[in-house]
Amino acid sequence: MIDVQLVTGSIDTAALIAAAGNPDAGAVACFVGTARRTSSMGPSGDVTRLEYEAYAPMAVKELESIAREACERHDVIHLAVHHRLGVLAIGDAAVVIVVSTAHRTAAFEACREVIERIKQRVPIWKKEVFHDGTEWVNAHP
Amino acid sequence: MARILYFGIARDLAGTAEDTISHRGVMASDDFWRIVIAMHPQLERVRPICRLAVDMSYAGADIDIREDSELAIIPPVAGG
Repeated sequence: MIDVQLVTGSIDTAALIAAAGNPDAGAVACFVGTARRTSSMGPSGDVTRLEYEAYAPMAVKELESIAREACERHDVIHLAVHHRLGVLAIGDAAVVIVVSTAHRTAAFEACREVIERIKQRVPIWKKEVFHDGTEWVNAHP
Repeated sequence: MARILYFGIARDLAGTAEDTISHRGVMASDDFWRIVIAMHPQLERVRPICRLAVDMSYAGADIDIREDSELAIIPPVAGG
């Protein structure tokens, strides 16, 4: 089963893990992407918050496609991806991926594949907010 | 009416989240970019790092603009 959502409040990671449980699943793997205080783009003081935005319908379409491909490739029983949008404090979860499979190798691989592909192609953007300005992450030629 | 959506840094530079476009038919993506940059010259500096999407699929070398097409300027993504 696939559960892909864009959300605006905090993600309930424990609930996603519980929902992935299955009598045939020997492994549940989870990735949590969290907002950190060091800028992705070199030293410029502490990040005070992150702001995420999305081209929402296309982001959902890409997330569903990534989820389907991972499920087929790794024989996944249950896969959930919840990505948060809006303002995140340092330490907040931006994305949670939960995968359950019969055996652990597939769970780790599917989980990793999903986050790598999210970072390549899902139309979601984040802005780092500092005390003295803001920067779009990755947006410099 | 066909629309162009701007996101992230592209929206900041264009000064708008959306434009309409009256061109129709097949054109090279490069020609579409010329039209966009003519409307918003500030986008020239991020053009090399942006992708185009048409109706929520990443565009190839050519695009086909129809009456209800939704085009989007997609700066480098930063999800996750």
